[in-house]
Amino acid sequence: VSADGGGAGPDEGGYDVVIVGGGIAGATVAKVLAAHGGRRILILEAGRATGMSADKYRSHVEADLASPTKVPNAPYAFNPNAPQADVLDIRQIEPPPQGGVAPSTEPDTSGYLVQTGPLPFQSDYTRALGGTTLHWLGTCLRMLPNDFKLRTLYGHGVDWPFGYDVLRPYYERAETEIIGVAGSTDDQHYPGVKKRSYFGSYEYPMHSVPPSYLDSVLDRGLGGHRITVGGRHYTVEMSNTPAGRNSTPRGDYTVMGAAGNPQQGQRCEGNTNCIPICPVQAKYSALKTLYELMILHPGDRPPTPTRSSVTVVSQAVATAVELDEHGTVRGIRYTEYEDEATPTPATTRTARGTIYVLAANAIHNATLLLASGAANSSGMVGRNLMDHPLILTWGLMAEPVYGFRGPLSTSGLEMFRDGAFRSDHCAFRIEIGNEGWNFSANAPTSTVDALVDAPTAPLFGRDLRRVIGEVMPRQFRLALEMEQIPQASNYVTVDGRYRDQLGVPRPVIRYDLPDYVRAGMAAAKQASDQMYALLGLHPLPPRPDPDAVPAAELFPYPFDYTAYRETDPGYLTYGDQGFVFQGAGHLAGTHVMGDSPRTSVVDPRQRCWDHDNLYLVGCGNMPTVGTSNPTLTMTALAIMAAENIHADLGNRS
Amino acid sequence: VTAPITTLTDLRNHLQIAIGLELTTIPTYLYALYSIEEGANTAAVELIESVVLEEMLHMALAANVLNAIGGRPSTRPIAKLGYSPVPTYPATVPLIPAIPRIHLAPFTPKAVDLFLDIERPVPRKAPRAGAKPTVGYGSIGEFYDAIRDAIERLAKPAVFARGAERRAGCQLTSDQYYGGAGKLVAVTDLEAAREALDTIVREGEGLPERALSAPPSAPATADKEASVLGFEVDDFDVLPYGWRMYSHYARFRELRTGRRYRPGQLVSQQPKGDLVLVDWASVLPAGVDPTAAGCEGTAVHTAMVEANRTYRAIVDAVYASFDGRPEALGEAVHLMFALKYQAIALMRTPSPSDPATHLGPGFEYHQPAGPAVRRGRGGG
Repeated sequence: VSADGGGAGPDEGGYDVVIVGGGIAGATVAKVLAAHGGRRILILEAGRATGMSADKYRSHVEADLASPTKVPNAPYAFNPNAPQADVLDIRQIEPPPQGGVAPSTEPDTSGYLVQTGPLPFQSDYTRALGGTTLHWLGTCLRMLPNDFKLRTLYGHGVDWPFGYDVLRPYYERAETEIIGVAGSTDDQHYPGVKKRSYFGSYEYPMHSVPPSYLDSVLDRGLGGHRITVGGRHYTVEMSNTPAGRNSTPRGDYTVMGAAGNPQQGQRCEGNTNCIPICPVQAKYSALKTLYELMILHPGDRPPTPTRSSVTVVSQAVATAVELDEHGTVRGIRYTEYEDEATPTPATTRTARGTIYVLAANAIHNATLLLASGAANSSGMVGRNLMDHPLILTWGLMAEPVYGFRGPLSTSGLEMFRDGAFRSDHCAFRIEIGNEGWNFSANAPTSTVDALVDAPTAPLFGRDLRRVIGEVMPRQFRLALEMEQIPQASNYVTVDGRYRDQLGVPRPVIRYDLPDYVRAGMAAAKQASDQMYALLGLHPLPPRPDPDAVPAAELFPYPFDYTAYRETDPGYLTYGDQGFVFQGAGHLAGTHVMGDSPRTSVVDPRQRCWDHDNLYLVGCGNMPTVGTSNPTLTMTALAIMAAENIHADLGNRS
Repeated sequence: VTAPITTLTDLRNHLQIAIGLELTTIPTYLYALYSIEEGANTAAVELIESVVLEEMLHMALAANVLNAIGGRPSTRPIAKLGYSPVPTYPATVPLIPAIPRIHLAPFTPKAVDLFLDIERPVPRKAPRAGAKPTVGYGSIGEFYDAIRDAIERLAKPAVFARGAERRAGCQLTSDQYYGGAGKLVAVTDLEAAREALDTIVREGEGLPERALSAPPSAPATADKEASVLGFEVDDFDVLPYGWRMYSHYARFRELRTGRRYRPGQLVSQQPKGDLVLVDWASVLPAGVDPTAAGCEGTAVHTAMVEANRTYRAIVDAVYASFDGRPEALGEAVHLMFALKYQAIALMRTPSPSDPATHLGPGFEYHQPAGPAVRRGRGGG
C-alpha cells in the first residue's frame, strides 16, 4: 500500500465510501467503517503524506528545529498546491469605510486566507496527511452537559439537537479507540458537574501525565482561594487536563507509539513541543490511525468479511462535489499534482462510491461545498464560523517555576466554563501554559535577544547566563479561552477573484467578535488580575526603557507583564478596555448540525439535508463549541457519523 | 561443557550473573548509539534503540525470576566467582567464554561485529575435531537453557511461595516497562519463570541453534515452538500496529550487511531484502573504553567523573527497583536522559591527550575514589 499515491489514482466507481480529507475526522470514519469488515474505502488527501514513515516524520522535526519562529506550521512546509493558513500571515485589517457597514472593499490578501475583517481570523491549520492533529496540543476535554443547551438555559447561541448523554458513549470510544487519552476522572473539576452522571464508572485508558511543577506552584498560591468576577464568587480549583498523550496504561490498554516506529513515543518525554510537533509522537496524531489502517486494512488487497480495504491517495485536491439532477452525489472531482512548479502538471480525476464524506476542516469543507453549489439550500454553508478566541496574560513569578519541562499544558482552571454568568457574557476556560513566554512573546529567543541586543549595557558570557537563569525560569502564562457563539455574520465564502495556483477558490473570511465574547474577555481578565495579585504579582509599572536601563534590569520580578498593544493584529476593545486576542486553531461551525433544514446543513445523523448520500464530519458540524478544545467532541461525532454511514450502507446493499 | 546446576544457591548465582550479563550489554549498545551524530543513521538509531530497550527488559525479567525464587538482586560481587554484576569495561562475562571481551566503542562495523558476537546463537568457530572441550557455555542461549533446566528441577512450588513472602513487593510489572517489544511479566510461579526466560532468549538470539539450518517452510502460527523452525528472523513479538520484531542477532545482521531480511529468510542466510542505509562517517570519534582516571589533571576530568556518577545513580536506582521500590525506576528514567546528554557532550569533546579522539562516558560504576570533584564555578 502506498501513501504517496503511486501511479494512476482511482478514476472509477466501486468504493463503498469516498472520504475527502486525511485528518482525524476522515481517519476516524475510515477506522470505524473498516472495523466492520468488507468495505472498500478511499481517502483523498490534498496535502502530502510526508509524516507517514518515521524517517520522513523526522524531516518535520528538522524543519521545526531550523525555524526561528516556533509557530504551529513551522514544521509543515507551505505547499502551493494545497495552501494553508499561517499565523505569521495575520495583519490588522483596514477598518470599513467611515459610516459604512459593508466590509472593506480591499480585503487583506497577503496570506492564503482572504480576510475582509473587521477582525482578522487568527487561526491556522495544516494541509498534509494527518491534518492539524500534527500540531494540536492534545487537550481532550469533553463538552459540559449545559453546553448543549446554551439557548434554552442562557438565551444565547443555539441548542444542540441532542444532549451530552447521547454523545457520552462516543466520547468514551473516541478516548479509547481513536485518540488514546491520559487522564483521571477523579482529577476533573468542572462547575456543576457530578462525576457519577458525567463519567459513570468509566476511566480513561491511561493514567494522567504528571502535572507540571508550575501547576503545583499555582495550586499552592491559588488553590481554594476565592475570587470575585462580576459580583459572583468563584473558588479556584486546579483540574488536571486529559490529553491525547501517551502515559502509563490502565488495564490491558495498548499504548500506540509512533507511526512507523511503534517503539518510540510510548510515553510523553516532556519535550514541551506538543505544538508545533511532538518529536517522539507520544502525542496522538491522525497519522497513527491512518498507519494502523494501512497495516490492518491494506488498500492493495481486496476486502474480506473481516478485513476492509483502505486506500489513501495523497496530493489529491478535491475540487467539486458532482451532483446529478436528483441531488444525489455521483463523484468527487479532484486534481492530482506531483511537484510544486508553476504551472503544476496536474491530472483531473473523479472518485466514485456509494456514500461520500467530506472530512476536511471547517473552512475547506465549506469552500468545497460552496464551489460545488452543494448542500446549501439553507444558505448556512460557511456561516457560523467559530473559534476559541483567547487572550493571554503573562508574568514573572517571585520564585522559579521552571517552564519548558513536561508537556505544554497539564492543568487548567475550569470554574468559568459554566454558570449563571453565561446569560451576560461568554464562558471561558483558563489553560495553564508550561512554556514560559513562548506563546506570549516568542521566548526564549526574544528574551535572549532583548538581553544581548540591549542598547544599554548589553549582556554576554557569565552575566548573560546568570540573568537568563533568573528570568527564564520565572516566566509563565495563562490563556483565557472564550466560547465564541455562532453568528451567521461570521462566515467563510468563495469569490472567483481569489484562487490558488490549481484554480481552487481561496477561503474568503468575514470575522468579528460580539460584545458577548468581548465581555467574557473583560471578565476573564478580571479573574486573571485577581489571581496574579494572589500570587504577589502586580502590574508592571511602565516597562523599563532599554535606552535608559541596563540590560540586566530589563526584567524585574515579580510582576504581571500583561500588556496589549493597539498595533497588534488582534487588538480589540470592550468599553474602555483593550485586549489582544489570538486564534486557538479551533475552526468550527461552518456547516452546522440542527433539527431543521432551514437553519442547518446536516441533520442529527450528520447527513446533509440536501443529499442523502453525502455526510459531513468535523468541527463544522458543531452547533456551538462550549469551552473544550473541539477535537475530542469532533472525533466522538465522527464515530457517530460512521455508525450511521454503516447503517445506510447496510440498508442499501 | 558445564556441570548442571545442582543447588538453589548456584541457581541464584546464575541468575545474578544473568542480570549482570544483561546490564553489561547496555552500555556498549548505548555508547555506539550516542556516538551517532544527531539526525544521522535513523535506521541504525532505531535498531540499536530497539535492542537496548529489550536488554533493559531482560535485566528486569532476570531480576523478577531471581526475586521469585527468593534471591536478592545485588550489585555486590558474587564472592564465590569473584565476579561483580556491574562490570568495568572492557568487560568479560563469566561462564560464557564464547562471548568476547565487551568494549565501549563508537558505531563502526567492528562494533557491530562485537554486537553480533554477543548475540550469536552458536559459537562462531566450531571446535576443531579432537580439541579439548571448552569449559563454560557456548552462547547466552545455552546459559539460559541451563538456568531454565535448573528451575524446572529445583524451583518447587514451595520455593516460589517462600520467594513471594521473602521478596514481597519486588516484582516489576508491565507498568514499569515500555518502548520496546516484549512484556515485563511478574514472576510468581514456574510458568511465569519459563515465559520470562523464553522472552530473554527469543528476543536475543531469536532461535535455538537447530533452527539455523531449518528450511523456510511452515508459515508462522500461533504455536511458537512449531513455527520457530519456519519463520526464522521473526522473534514473535508483535508490537502495536501489528509490527513484528526480529531477534537482536537478526537485527544487527541487517545493520552489518546493509540489507533487510526478506520475510521467511533464514537467519543464517545473507539478508536479501531492502537496503538499510548506514552512514558510517556520521559518527563522533569517541574513544574506546574511556576512563575518568585517564583524564585526571585535565579540564575535562570533572565531566568524566560526573557522567560516571550519573551512571552509578542509574544502576543503584534500578537495583532499588528490584528491591521493593519500583518507583525508583521512574527516577532512573530522569537520570537516563541526563546521562544521554552528558554522554553526547563528552563525545563532542576532543580528548586532551589526543584531540583526534573524542571523550565518552566510561560507565565506571566502581569509580576509583579520587579527589573530590570541585563544585560550582570553574572546573579547569
